Amino acid sequence: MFGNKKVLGIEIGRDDLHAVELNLIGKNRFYISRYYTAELDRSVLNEGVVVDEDAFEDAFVNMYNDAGFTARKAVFGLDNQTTILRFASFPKVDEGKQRGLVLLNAQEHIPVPVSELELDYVTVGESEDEDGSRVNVLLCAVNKKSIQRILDVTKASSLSVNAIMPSQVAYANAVLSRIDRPDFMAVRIGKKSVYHIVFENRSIAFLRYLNLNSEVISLLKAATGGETLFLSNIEAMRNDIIRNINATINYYRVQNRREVNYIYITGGSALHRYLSSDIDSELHSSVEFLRLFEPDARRGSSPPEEFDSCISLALNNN
Amino acid sequence: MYKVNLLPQAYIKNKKNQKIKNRVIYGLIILLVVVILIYRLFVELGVRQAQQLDSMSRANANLADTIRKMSDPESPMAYATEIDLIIDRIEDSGIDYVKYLVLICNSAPDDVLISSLSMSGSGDERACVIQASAERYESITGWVTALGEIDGLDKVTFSYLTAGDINSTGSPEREDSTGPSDRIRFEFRVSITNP
Repeated sequence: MFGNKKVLGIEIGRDDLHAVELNLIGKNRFYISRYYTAELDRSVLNEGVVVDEDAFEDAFVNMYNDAGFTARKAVFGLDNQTTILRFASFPKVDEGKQRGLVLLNAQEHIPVPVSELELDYVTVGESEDEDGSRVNVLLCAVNKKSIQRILDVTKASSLSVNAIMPSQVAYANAVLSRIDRPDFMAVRIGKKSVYHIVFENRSIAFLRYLNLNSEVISLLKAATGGETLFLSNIEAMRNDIIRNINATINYYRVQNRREVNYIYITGGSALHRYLSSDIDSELHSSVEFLRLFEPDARRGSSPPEEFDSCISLALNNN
Repeated sequence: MYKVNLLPQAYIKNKKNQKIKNRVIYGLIILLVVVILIYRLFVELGVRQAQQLDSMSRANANLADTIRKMSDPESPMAYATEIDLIIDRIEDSGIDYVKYLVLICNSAPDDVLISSLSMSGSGDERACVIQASAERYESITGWVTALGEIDGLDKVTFSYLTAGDINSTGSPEREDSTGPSDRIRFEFRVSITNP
């Protein structure tokens, strides 16, 4: 696994690219040699959809060259709404036949013809009903054209793609490696989006992806940049985040009939001072702010928290 | 850890095949290197064997040359071989020449000086030839008498006497008084018989 020690973790966002070059020096031991962000125009990449293929390829190659990346392997993450994520349950069969059964019957749960999608799944648990044992899975699907575009741009940089996965799954892996608690909710506040993932017995039980509106995005950017915010803006941003978390908790409570008692907020270090007061009582849970990765700056670079998801992806190198 | 991969199966299969191909290529390269090393080893062994053969051939030639030189009558080795043969013959004769030389020398009176003593002849003709000088004739007759008493010594025959007449079978002469001394010079031959 650690034969080639350098790997790129590249996240394709709504209209940007984030990448880190991670140097693996052992199991879960690494340092970051380089990182880079490329903000793209919406005429090139809009809500994760490549609009201008040539411009996207140029932007990708420029990012690779400008950052001075040297890794030849990459793991891509999709942090946008081009990814279809659906929970589903299938009868449990022999291990060798389970994959075929899931992929064959996935169409029942996905509103797009699966022939147009690249499809995979993760098992998130098992359950029993009157028909017998069932396997609960999280189906992950992306349009074939989107995947092909990624493969096309990597050819231009002579990169070998080891995996393409939803960023949420890589994030879930990273959270599970940091938190020992069996039942909790993890909130990832990104630059332009938010994930809420509820874990039951250390398995994904509920997942919600939210696009932030432009007002909150600009406020987050200002807070991350260290700018002083007006009280009214802080209140607006705080209320928006808390309202969304509460909405997720309510959805989860209705669907799974369980409570959320522990919430870990990641990616929100810059917002800590604005969010922390009384947040426990407002969310009716124990809330903790957490940084997932703290790369060793003495050996390499120490990228900001927004690159944590890229690090998660690189650590998911198969 | 959740593992999910949205790469097309064809791409994954292609990568796997490429990986297998690379492994085969690396394996072949390693095999080639091993074969080259073994070949080098055999070549090295062959060279060493050739060197050994060459060295043995040289040693053989040297030995043949030595043997040839030993058979050459002009060579020092031939002389040495000849001396060895003479020594062997002397040893085979059964006569203790050293003993006779010592007895002859010890029997000489005090005023007799032996200037040469040699052995000659072979078989029954063996004899000791003595060249000596004495101050008086009496000393010479005394010595001849003493020699006659030694076992194994037989007849004494004078070759010459240079200082005066003497009663012997030789041809005595009187030495000129113009020499460095007035000593009587003489030479006689004593036959040796096996005791």
